[in-house]
Amino acid sequence: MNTEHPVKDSMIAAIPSLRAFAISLCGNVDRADDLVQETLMRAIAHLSSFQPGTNMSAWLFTILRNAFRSEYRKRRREVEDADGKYADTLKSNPEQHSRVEFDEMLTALAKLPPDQREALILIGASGFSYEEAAAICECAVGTIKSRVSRARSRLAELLSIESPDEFGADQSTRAVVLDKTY
Amino acid sequence: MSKEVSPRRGAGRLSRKDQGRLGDLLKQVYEDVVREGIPERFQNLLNELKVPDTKGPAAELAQPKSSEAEPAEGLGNGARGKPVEAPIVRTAGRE
Repeated sequence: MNTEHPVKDSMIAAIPSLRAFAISLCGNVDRADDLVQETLMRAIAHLSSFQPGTNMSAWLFTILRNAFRSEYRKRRREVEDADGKYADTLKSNPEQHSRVEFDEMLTALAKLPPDQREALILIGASGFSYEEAAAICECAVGTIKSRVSRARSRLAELLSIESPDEFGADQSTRAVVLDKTY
Repeated sequence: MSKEVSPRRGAGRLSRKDQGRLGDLLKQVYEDVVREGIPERFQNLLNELKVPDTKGPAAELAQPKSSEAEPAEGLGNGARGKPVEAPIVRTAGRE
């Protein structure tokens, strides 16, 4: 890393997780990369509002989340289709993501309401604290907690990974997912 | 809609085990993308855009100060974001 450019370096360092967040949010690799690009451009345009000493990654996530939201408002009809027509349009790069569960997870995530989806990803995958996620999503910590909890329940249903009792648990998650047919 | 709550478990709560399995799957998918690293497209973009460096040494950016929380300024018109508050310490997601 080039230490002469700390801002640039920390932006670059954040890109892999920004992409993962974007792909989990919008389910489409190309759209996600456009979203990341938009995020970086907005970030650079508003760099003066970034406070050195604060978390660059959280700041970028906030921008990306807002960019996704504004795009989402435009695409509302498409995205609000909870029955999966939107999910059918989800696309990932088959070379890089050959595993079935990748598409399946994206499809399931797309069926969650966006506020639940973002909360679950921030907490369950990005590794942010509830407080950080609340700041990113501009809501109360309690709201994040309940969204995450609802998202988990719904996602478990969609992926059929709820075991009726503890005895079902020695089935591996992968097997459960792979057994599912589209 | 009779969505998330299954009467069997009450309150729609997942067992710890199921929560763990779900979390693992989610992280797996997320990490798949993270492992792809940084597409050239973004390296080029940042080079072209010539990211200006703000005041403050690299250490400040890399390591959040642990002083009292101090709200950052808003992002301005483009991204109407509520400021992320300092100090922010990255933690592993608590389950």
